[in-house]
Amino acid sequence: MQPECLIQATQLNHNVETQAGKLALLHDINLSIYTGESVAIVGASGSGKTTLLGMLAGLDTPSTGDVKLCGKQLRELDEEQRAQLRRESIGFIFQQFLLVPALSALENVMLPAELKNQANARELALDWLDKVGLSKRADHYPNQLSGGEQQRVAIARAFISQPAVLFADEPSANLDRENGLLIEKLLFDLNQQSKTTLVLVTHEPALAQSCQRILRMDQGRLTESSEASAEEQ
Amino acid sequence: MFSLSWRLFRSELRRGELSIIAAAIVLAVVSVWLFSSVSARIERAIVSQSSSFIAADRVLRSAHEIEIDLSAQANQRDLGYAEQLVFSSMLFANDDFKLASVKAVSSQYPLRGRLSISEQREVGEEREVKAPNIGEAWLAERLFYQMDLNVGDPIYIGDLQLKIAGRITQEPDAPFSVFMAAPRVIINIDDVEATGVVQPGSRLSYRYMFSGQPAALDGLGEWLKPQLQANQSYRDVSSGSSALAQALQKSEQFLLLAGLIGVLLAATAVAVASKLYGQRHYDSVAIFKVLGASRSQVRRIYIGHLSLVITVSIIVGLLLGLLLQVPIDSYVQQALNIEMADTGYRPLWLAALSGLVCGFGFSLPPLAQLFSIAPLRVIRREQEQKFQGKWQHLLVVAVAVFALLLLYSNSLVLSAILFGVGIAVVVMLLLLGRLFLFFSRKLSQSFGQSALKLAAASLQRNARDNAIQLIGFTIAIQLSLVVYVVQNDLIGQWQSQLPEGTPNHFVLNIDSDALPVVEQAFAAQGISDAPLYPMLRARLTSINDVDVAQGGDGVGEYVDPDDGKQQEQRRGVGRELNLSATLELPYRNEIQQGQWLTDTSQNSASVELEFAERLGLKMGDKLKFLSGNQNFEVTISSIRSLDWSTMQPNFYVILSPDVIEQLNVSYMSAFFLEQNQQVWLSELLNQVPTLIVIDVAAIIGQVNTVVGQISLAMRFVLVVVVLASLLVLLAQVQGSLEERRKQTVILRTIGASGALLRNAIFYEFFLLGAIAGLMAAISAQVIIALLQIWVLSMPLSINWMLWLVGPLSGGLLVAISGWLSTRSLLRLKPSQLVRQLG
Repeated sequence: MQPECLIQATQLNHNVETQAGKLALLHDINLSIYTGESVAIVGASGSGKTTLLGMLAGLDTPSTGDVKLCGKQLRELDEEQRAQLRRESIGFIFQQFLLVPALSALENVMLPAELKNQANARELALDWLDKVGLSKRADHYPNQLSGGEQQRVAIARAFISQPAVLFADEPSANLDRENGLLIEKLLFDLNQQSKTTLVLVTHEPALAQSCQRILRMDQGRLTESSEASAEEQ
Repeated sequence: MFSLSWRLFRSELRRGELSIIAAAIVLAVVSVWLFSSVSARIERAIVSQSSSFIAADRVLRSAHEIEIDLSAQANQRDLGYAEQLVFSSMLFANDDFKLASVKAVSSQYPLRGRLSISEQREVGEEREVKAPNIGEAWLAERLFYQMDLNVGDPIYIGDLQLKIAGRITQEPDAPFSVFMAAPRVIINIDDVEATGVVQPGSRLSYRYMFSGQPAALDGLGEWLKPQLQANQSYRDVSSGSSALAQALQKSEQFLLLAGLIGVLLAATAVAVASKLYGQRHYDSVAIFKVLGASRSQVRRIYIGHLSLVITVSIIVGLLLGLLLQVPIDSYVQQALNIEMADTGYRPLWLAALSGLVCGFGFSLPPLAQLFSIAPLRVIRREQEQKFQGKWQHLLVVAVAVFALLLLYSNSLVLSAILFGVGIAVVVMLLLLGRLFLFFSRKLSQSFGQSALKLAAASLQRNARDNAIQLIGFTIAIQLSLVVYVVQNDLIGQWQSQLPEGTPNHFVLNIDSDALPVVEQAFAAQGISDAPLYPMLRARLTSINDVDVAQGGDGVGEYVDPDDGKQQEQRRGVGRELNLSATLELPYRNEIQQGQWLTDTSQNSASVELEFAERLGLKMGDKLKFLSGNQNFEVTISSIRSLDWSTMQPNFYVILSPDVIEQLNVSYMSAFFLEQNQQVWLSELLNQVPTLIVIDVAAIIGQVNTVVGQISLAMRFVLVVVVLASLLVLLAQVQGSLEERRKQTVILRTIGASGALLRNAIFYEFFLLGAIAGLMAAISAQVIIALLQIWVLSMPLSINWMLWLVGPLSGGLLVAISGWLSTRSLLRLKPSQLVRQLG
């Protein structure tokens, strides 16, 4: 049976106005990502990876073209409906961890569940903190945690609402190699367990190889789409 | 969502992230509380002390008897009540008669102040009294000498015989008009009918006097005023234009002004802190939104959060106000030697309401910006956030500021003026700020030192943010400078109007025969600075040969049939005037037009500015006067301004001495006499019984007391204003830390030394502070000039110290706050800085 298409981008173009004139960030992007798939978007700095991730996740709106995410045309959704879509179906992991500094590790993990008004947010969060090995640091604040620990909290926060799709933007880029590997392993393990679709932006070939498919970006264009195994050969 | 608001609040409170906004709201609440309660108490205490000069808290004056039962009204409102009736009558005794000013008083008189008599004709022991008994009279000292009377002698007023029971030594509401010639006699009001002198058509002055709580007195005033006729007035001691009333009016203006400045500054601190509060939460809101928080969820979280911040800050502010009020009250009470009046709950609710207006009014715009933060910020932090509805937000802030001014001043006009001036100042500062920053770049190109260059470049790079930051700095420094100048210079200027040794006695009616006696007595007493002014009473009969019409009651009016407006201007000036002649320009008189009189001046006159304006007089006009049965004409050779509040002899018209050579004149003088030298004065009166001596020592003393009390109150205001200014500076510096952190990371990473960065930051803040200080000096000078002209009626003065103190203190204060705030940043290693940036 053909897997369900979870994300579909059609003729995506995005331009921004700068002092030097119009700058094109994305050119004619067309892509499909299927349920359960793990996809890496790779490319040099400034190639448009993060911009594309923002468009696919509904954080930004393209100048032209459209994205269909979890069966919904993003252009047709207003800000509130997009927020609802993110709340119910999407998880995020960022390079800068992006934890709320005023909330403890536990409170950060609880956040998505609380926003969904889940009564058992605390229990769920404790459970996910346990899964990422931080149950003993539940009451610690982000500034009391190391970079690796902060990213583990961010991973727990991303998975707690059991999203249909997880967007990860350079999740190990701010970490040393050892911590980076640990985080990558944790991310893929949890992803496999929860069978979540993963869209990963990275410039590290090794990390990209862990995904089933690799999309290559160059100057705002999608230049190549390949199976990870083929890349290896 | 509230639990999330609570958790955020609790955690941020613990981590000190709310300290700036909480401190700003607490400061706003405490300052409104203290300004409103302490100023109101000081003001009430001063007015209450001064009320002794009208012998009551309020007086209803009327030219005829009032038919309302005012005694019952006073009783009903729990107010003290007394009545007096003043009329002129001949006093008969020892086959002699004199015109006296009779004051008939009821048994409770005086309600305020001290009425005292001595039972001896000469200086002797005095005692405090209320009204005289029926059938008794108390007389002014000079009547004893003029009519050769003694205590116990009989006198007659109309048909009634009265016994002299004492000599008046102190009368609380004695008139201070130096031209009131008739000596005082005080009798009981129940004796008036028996005198038979009060007849229909008699010239009478009724005074209905009240004392008690301000609210009850105001209530009575509100009830009375609609029923009053044109010749009736309900007033307190600060009404009118006496020196004391002027001092009280001025003190009220000073306190209100200082309070408003303090409140505005506290509000500025809240506004700056609110912006900082908003900026601090941008990232958190973006994270919430990325995680799927809807706009309404974000709104609930942050309105809940801010409500907690504001509520807790208001409660802390009120508690702190309550705690501080006890020692401050006790200090003020001791320092000013006054009884602090109760001001009720007004300061409490005013403080709480100000906290709410400040907190929500200034936080709503940054909060609205928070709600519209785009989730995209998490991946595009560098992208400038475009906020909608900036003008609506500015409108909210403007309404909040206006509401605050109105709440505090209770005056729509004053609030509107201050608000208008405030807007103009902010616009001017924005323009000036950009201009200064532009020139700072030009200047930086000539800087050889790299830290200075770096500082100037940084100022220029963030020109827009810096221009806004400059406004905050400038307002803080400017308002502090205004209060400093008001406290230091304007009050000093006010104080100097009545310096040590100001004449406290006026002596009038010195005829030519008595002149050598008085001069000799002055010389013997060592009184050297008491010029003797010739004085004559004369009526203005024509101006440039156009007659001045004479009113039926002796009040003349100038009539020019061709010019109705001119006639209106000249109405009511034709009464008899007291003229003098001298070649010495009197104290605090300034020539505005023409030349002062010299020994070559012939038939010339110098006229007072307001008098000239009222009559439409100009240089070269010819004025004709009638004195007794002698006519004389003079030409205006100069127009003078003068200061009526100096308590010195002043004249509308001063003639060249040649004019009075053929006229009958008496002399007057003013001199300073120590309190313990009254015996000398009694001896002088005994020698020359026709002299009229008016003692104004008490009123001068009270004016000086008022000035001293206000000066002290202003020192207290200055402390609060400086504290608020520092908070504004600190909040502003905190607001720019994030940007500086980024800049520091970059510069450290590329190898900039700690010393270079430290110096660059110090210079940048110093330059910013110095520019703000310079703009503050300019705007403070403008504000002070406006205050001098429009509010305080004082001569315009340029304060050069401002131009030095402003930039220097601004530069140093801002540089120190900046250096203190960024010190921890500079100690971090580049790797730690990068990690902090997250």
